[in-house]
Amino acid sequence: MNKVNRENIILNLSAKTKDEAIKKISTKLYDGGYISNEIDFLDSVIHRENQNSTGIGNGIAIPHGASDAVVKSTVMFAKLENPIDWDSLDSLPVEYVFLLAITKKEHGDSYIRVLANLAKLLMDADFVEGFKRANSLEEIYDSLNRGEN
Amino acid sequence: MKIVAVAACLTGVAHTYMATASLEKSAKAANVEIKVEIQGAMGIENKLSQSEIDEAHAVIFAIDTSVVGRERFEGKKIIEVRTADTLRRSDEILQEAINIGEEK
Repeated sequence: MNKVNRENIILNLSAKTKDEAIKKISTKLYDGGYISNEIDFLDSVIHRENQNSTGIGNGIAIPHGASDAVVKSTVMFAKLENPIDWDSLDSLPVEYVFLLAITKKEHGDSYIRVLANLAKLLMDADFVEGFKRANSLEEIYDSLNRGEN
Repeated sequence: MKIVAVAACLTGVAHTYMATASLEKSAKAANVEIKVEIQGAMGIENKLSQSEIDEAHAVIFAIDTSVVGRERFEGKKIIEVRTADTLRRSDEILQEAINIGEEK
């Protein structure tokens, strides 16, 4: 299973704040049919964000929401036009956002495993360098899904 | 030196797994044996047996919530941190665990 679908990659997303970035990416999730209600999903993401920031350092953020509004679990990747403040662990601005939508169904779904593996990979310097160095949508897609069958 | 750990965050999908990866990476670099029990959205993975816990020299809890089955660790030397701490400084945390593990 692919980690990140081609249509779930956004290039040059323009946002001035993290709330704006999360909102814009959530709209794409709604358009893609992954969430049934944008406001409910946003509530879960912002609620999580307020507990502690999901800026994991190195220019990367991994906001996520688990909500009944999630129809099927997925991830949206966005490369921002300009890095923005995300209250990150290393205080550096964020340029790469992985927004995770997680189903609240009792036993989850098969994609949660993919998301967990993706989270693990974000600790791998080679994987991170791969998508940071990528210039086109196709290169980003390849780097994010490298090693998948 | 044997270390065991438990990773658990609120959603159980992102930080739990990042913390696990960080601790495993630091342990590999320090050439220390570690086993991380994951308490996440898919239940408990890589569950620690009581003998593994008993044999461990130190325990790391990387948690943003409570540990399921905390009583299994009674009497152990435990370092408790937040999952985010392991993203910031997992090498240091591992070293602290090694240090307390070496104490008599």
